Amino acid sequence: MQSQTTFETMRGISAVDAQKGFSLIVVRGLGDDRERLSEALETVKVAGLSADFLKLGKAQFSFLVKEEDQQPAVDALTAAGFEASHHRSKAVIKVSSPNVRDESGLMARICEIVLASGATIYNVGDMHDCVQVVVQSEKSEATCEALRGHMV
Amino acid sequence: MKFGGTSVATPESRLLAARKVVDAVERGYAPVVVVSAIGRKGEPYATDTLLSLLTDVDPLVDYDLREMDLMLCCGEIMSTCIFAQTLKSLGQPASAMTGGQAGLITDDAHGNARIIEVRPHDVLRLVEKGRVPVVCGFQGRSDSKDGAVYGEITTLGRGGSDTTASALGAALKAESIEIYTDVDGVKTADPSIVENAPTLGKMTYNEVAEIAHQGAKVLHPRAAQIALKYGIPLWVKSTFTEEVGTEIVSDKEFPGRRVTGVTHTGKLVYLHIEVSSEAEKRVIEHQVYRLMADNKVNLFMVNTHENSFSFAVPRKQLPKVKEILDGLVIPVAEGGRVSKTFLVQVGRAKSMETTAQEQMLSGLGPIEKCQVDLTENCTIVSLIAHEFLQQPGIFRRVVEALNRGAIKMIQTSDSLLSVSVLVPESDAERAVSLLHAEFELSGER
Repeated sequence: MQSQTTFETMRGISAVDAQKGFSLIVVRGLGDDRERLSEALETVKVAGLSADFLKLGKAQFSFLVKEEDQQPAVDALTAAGFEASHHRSKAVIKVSSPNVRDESGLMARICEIVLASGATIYNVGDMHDCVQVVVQSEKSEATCEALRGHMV
Repeated sequence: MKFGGTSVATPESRLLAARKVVDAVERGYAPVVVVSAIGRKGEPYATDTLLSLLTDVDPLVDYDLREMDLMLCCGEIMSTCIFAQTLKSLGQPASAMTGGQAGLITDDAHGNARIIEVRPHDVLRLVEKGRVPVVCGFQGRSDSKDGAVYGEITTLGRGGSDTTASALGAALKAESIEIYTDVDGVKTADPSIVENAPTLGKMTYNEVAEIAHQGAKVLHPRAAQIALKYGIPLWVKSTFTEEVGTEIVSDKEFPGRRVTGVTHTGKLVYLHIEVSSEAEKRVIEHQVYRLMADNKVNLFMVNTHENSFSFAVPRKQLPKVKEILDGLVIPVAEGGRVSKTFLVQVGRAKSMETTAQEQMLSGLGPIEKCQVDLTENCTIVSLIAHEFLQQPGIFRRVVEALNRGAIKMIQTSDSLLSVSVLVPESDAERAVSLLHAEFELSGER
């Protein structure tokens, strides 16, 4: 076990918190046409919404909006001819873990802990000082606890 | 004042660097200098060259990380002695110091140590005597333990010299930390890709940390994080010009909505795994992440769908990943009994391992193949921004710009500070140029 530091930010997981109140919007039936993706994103923009945590899939894509924006997002996409659905009650867990890309295996460990806590991973993003994981709200507290169990 | 490898590579560049130090003294400052090893990869005294001396003894015999650190430290030690001598040749008294002598106390993680404490007494003592301390970057000393009288020499890992400079700056309560390199500040993109990429006049600690996190080789995020924590202004400047450089300050001192730059990073391989049922996918996904973590594999662009999951790994780690996953047997239980067994196959062609496992398992009931599709030669292109990405339409602009260039988007990910797209490596430079143009980054900054 490596000793930890107080001068620099600690390696590994140093804090965990969750923000609830998000919905996942899934847009299907796009085929491989990136123009259609662009049109769908234009529809989201015109609706005044930001498509965060965008994820590409086979003939589909998904993104996260605040729960109060889920219906306007689905309505706008449906009106524009897209097959859209929403999946409410999602939470974003912020795992403070500086320089995750320099800590070999840490991203995989975070994903492993999240899955072991019973949550489903909907998306993962990382920045220089944290990893953000989208999970279902009802599992977010258990997931946070599990991650805190691995805090340095 | 920290001088990187190219700034101390030749007698001419060292003289330019040393003149900047003397100039600072003449302006009434008491500079403390941090230097990297001389030159970059492939050059005689560069860090990689020193490491190869160790690995070349016998590539089949692993080296001790402790010995690796001792070997790597030689590069910086030589560099500090030569730089101190250069300062003396200009009439400026100077003294070379190792990281440990300068009081950089680290944990004992050889090769990637973290700074626990800085005890800068001897640095200050030299300053008080009118000498310029020239400190080895990238290295420190662990505290003694296990009955040893002295600690061990350690190295700080990637970006270690920047981190040394920030840590010393913080401990000495410096007026500023100046990082000297071969470009005149932080640019909006790699100037070898976008020729007219302007230099950013000012940016925040978070922006510079993120731009570095996403691949720009300007300053290590650890250095920015220390400067942020201790509130010390950070500058990135050129050794070779008199340009003012890039000032790095807090979010409060430089608010506003803006796109900072475009970066690209890493030689990656994208792995995509499809599984027929969601419940079975969870079991396989969990097992795969556990193995990746246990074997210290770095994952990027982690993504999951109902019946599939995917992630990218560094290309150099692909052989390890293949070794872990190819032929892996994953039993899936239902009601306390194994209901199905999955056999993982990496790539389209069946390997000897998979064939052998298949034969061994043939008597145990149904075996389902779990294929890992590989997309090789990928890289991540990222747009870095400040209070900008949560606006409607940003992703659309990214997608449209890349569509215009007919660039395949393999996957995307985003955070508060960046939007990233995984693209074929062959398209990376075009993707950087297209995004740079789309977000009009060539103007006055």
